[in-house]
Amino acid sequence: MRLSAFALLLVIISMSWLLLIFVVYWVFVLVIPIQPPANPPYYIAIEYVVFKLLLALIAIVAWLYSYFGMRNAFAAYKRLRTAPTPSA
Amino acid sequence: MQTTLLLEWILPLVALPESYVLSRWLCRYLRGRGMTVPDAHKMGNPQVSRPGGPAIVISLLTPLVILYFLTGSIQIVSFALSVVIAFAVGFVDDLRALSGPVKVGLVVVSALPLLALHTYSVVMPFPFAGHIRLSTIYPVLILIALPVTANAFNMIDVYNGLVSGFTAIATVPLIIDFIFTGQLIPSLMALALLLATAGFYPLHRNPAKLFPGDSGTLALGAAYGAVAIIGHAEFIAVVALLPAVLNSFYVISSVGGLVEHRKMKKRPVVLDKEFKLNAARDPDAPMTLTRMMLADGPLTESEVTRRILYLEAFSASLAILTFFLLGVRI
Repeated sequence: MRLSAFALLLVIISMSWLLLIFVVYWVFVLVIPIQPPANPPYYIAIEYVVFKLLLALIAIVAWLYSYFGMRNAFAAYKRLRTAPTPSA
Repeated sequence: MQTTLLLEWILPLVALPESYVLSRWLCRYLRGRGMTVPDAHKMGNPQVSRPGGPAIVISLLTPLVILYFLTGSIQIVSFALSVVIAFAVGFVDDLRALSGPVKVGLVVVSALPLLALHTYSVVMPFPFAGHIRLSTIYPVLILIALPVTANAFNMIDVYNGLVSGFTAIATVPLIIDFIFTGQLIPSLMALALLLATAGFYPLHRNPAKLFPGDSGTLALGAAYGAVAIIGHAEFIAVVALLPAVLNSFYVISSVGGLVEHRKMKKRPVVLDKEFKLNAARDPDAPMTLTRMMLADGPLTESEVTRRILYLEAFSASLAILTFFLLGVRI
């Protein structure tokens, strides 16, 4: 049984919603509260900031790429011809 | 006290008949002055009056102006200014087409009343994460948010009845949020927005007699973004707008930037001999929500509009669910 385009779009919207909630949770609950040990040397404090920025950036880039991924998966499933995209 | 509160809730209801009557009058007035555009998805390309934006904006703002004199709320002032600025940009675009980037740049100005009058809160509620303070970044987000919502609404205005039906459905989760959180003024502003678009819908639905034009779509998008910011329902609004957000994201990534839909080199959808819409087979054609919807085969314009509105109703349901998740913390 093949899913209709409408059903697939419902799946894409549901996935986008779940991913949005997950990214927010990842950034605000898991990454931002990470704290260095008390009174760290400045280079340790900087390393923590860079580490947190990287973790947040990875999540946001992965989230944006997931939109390309879902679109390409849709196009492949429905044999819709599209130009190559970054995640194709 | 009770009488005043009753009057405050009755006032936005005026937007519905006002919008309908004004739209009908504007439709005849524009036709009489030759201000019409062809409906590209109909046999014989019948002429349709445009822009209907003034009818939407006047009917949206009339009850709110009276409400301002009753309450003196500064929230109404910032909302009205944002809507009027976005409307003005759209109106200029209706008269002489602006380029995509210029239009977006000008719509940024519509965010300034919110910042200048400080009708926002830097504390945002998120599901499972509680209330998060975004002190430094939040004003920048406002400058981005209004052009994003305004252009998202502008980009889905491609079929008869779509943007008006879409706005009406997307506003329902906001009203539920504002009522449950006891925010009277944002509730009334969102109700006026819903009713102003509902009053416009009979003239916009298939076969359309009046198009909103960019003055209408940009004003609706700015109004939606502004009321979401004023009522602290930003996250709910993002979820409610997911079909429009996905559409904008896919269009922008397909064409490589902000391009006016009138100036797209490749069309995402083509018409067949029976005037049904077909997904373009050209691999370079932009990937839009409609093109994806048509992957199974041709559909009529009404069928496409109805399905996109169903998608929007689904997103609105997710937005209402999200509202109830805002109180949940893991």
